[in-house]
Amino acid sequence: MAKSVLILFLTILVSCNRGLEPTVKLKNILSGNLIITAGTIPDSASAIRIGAFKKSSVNSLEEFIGEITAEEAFLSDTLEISKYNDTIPFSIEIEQTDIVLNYTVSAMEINGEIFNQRLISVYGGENQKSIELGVSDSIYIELFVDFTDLPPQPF
Amino acid sequence: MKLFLFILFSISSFSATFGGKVIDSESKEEEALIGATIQIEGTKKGSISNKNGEFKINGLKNQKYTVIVSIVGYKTRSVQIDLSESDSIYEEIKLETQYLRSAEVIVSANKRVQSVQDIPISVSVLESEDIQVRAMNNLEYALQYVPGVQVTRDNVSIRGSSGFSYGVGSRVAFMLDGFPYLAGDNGDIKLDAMPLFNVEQIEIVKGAGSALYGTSAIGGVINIITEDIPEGFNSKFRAYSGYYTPLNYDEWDPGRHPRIDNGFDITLSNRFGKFSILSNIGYVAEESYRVYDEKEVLNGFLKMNYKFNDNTNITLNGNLSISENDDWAFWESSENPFFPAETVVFDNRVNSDKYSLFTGLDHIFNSNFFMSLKAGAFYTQYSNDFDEDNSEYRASDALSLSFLPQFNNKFGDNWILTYGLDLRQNIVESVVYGDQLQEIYAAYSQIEYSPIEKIDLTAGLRYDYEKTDISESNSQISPKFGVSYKPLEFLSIRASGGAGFRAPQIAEKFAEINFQGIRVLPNPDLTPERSVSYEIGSSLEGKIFDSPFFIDIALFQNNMEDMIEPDIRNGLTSDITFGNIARARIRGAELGLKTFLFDRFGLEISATALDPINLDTEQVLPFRSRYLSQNRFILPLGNYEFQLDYRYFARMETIVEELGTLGIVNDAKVRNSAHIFDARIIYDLKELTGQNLNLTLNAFNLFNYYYTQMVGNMGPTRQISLMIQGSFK
Repeated sequence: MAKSVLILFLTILVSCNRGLEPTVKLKNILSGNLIITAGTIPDSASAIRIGAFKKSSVNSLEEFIGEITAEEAFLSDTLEISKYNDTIPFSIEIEQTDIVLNYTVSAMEINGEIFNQRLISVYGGENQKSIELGVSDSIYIELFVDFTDLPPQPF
Repeated sequence: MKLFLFILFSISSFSATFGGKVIDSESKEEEALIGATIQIEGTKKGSISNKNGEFKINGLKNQKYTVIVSIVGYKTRSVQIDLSESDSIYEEIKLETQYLRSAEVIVSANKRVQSVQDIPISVSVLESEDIQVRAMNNLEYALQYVPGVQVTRDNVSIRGSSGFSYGVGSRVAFMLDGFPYLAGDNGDIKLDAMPLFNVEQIEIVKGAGSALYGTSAIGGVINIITEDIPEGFNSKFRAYSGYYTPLNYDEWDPGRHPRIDNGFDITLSNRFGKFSILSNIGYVAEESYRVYDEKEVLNGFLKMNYKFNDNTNITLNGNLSISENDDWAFWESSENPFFPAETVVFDNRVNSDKYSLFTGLDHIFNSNFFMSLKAGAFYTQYSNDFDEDNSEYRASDALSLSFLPQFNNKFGDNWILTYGLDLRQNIVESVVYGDQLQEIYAAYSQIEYSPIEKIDLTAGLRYDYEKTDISESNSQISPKFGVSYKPLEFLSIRASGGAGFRAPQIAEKFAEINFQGIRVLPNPDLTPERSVSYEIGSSLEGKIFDSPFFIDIALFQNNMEDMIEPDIRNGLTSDITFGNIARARIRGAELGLKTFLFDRFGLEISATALDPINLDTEQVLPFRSRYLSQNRFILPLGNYEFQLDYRYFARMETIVEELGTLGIVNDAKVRNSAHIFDARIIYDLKELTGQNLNLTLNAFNLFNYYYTQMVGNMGPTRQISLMIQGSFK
């Protein structure tokens, strides 16, 4: 009996020397610039974000939310908007490795309404481009925005 | 003449006396036991043995009584006395040493003094010794050692009843000496405001207690019982200082060493004639094991008692707690877990004051009928350091007023009726909740019947009415039943069931807060939670190879409707409202074992397995661990005693996932199970100094095991602490 108790005690003891440990995070960085080629940022724009999706298209708001919640898409923080700047930098940390982002876009929020988003740029334009991310990659891209001729809304 | 005879008869009806002496049965010199509690079962009459072990209870009727005699470290005894033939009885009561640490007398389960074995519901008791030896200044640390209880950053969960609700609301009714002690605005338990140095015991009633204790008791009841005031002048103190040892990994180092937690408590008391008074002052200063988690608390406690006569007694309790602490925060990331998130403003501190004053009047009309009146106020106030025009400024004042009259009637030898009212008002003036008034009025009744000595049957009913300002009123009738059966001296079986009810707190309905990237929005349409709970259990005690043991097992199920949980509204923004969002079923099993093996060492083992499921999504309820275990090993060695505690809780399977996906908490998926060892050596200095002093060396989290206490929050790291405590008469 005493032996069994001792073995159980030692088993528990051994498992207690571990716990959380510092980890080296493998993450990719997608960074770049949003470049305004024509027109100006409208007054109604309250925020601009970059979104990168594994899917090649997003056809509804529900799908958009679902992709983000399921970590199949990645959003940047809101970008710093200035009427005097036609080049806006961005950066997204992506803690997944060996993935392909097929649909990378920029959207602007209208009048502070989170569900009122307007697509303003697609990476690659009409010839939509994909981005391959491996391990600890740092990829630079440029997205171009023509406020006088915005791309069609996907939904 | 008739009036004179009536008065004379009435006086002479209560003229019997029971007195005696309480002795250690194993002591050759018949050592007197000081401070033993002698209580007449089912009544409020009782006494405490003095320095000679003697006691006297006056004002009894000429009839039979059951007397319960108890003191920590000794086996409780029930003694039958018969005053029908005599006006006075004197008895020497010998108590055996109890190596199994368990209190056998509690108050909370049925709102009266009774033996644990007769209660149809699971109860755990934390005794004063268990609290003091661990140098606890915060109820959170004390409750972590209770089987089936999990504390998650200010949220107390009994058997999975609660998860994490950002410190708002409680599914556990909380009381201080039977007086309700939940904040009027948040409805939360103020874990650092309890007079833990003056606690006699903490009673934890598991399972729905709404039929007796109403709203917030849907998951259980915690009642802190403060100590009785001993005879004569007494003083006691404790002082401790703890040091957090360096971390195992340099990259996690929070800097600024050494990190020290200090504290002290001093209690003075005196009993002279009919009046007794006890006062305590305590101070805690914690630098904590991580950045932005400091705290300073000043506590004061006052208890006064005046005994008008043998039948009437009045008590006044006052408690205050003034604290200043860093605000609540998630970690920066799992790579930097001992630093707060980048959104934190380091200059911001929270000032929080809590004051309470309540009075209790006990009056015994006769040996079958007594009354207990409680009335008082609990005031809380908090604010942070932001300017008032800052969107993250928070401030709230709340006053909770309560009036609780209760009556107990005994009919013959077999029937006990308990009934009363519970009248409360919560008055809130708050930047974040608005100005609100919540009224909760209730009436309850419970009948207990013992058809034969071995069986106790309980049935109860409670009606609750709740109304908050602009919201619609809510009401509920909560029935309960229970049976306890003791077929053999060493075996008892219990079963109970009942309905539960919890009205939404003011904070859950009206909160409008911005907090570190989270926005909480109001929902005044919240409706109450309701539940139906069941439990069956059994306990067995005896001896194996001369080693005493006590085993308890319980199976339970709690079905909940309209659970109020924080809900991130749309998956895209960090807006939270509290909503009636879940039907849930929480079922489980609990096993407890206590033994003192081979006359050498004590062992306490408990394990709880839970299956807490959201019936709508069929997922595990968020912020619950499926498995919990609390264990202790005790080895007395002369003037030394060695203790080892082991706590385990399983990794939380689910959380509110949007906390991670929306970036509110970095690395929200990083969570693990916890294996925590605490060790201590207690050295009794009495032989060396002739004084009642002891020294305790504590090593909390002995192996420096790193675990997440909550999502985005590391648990405390290893602390070595030295404490000295003593008492003087």
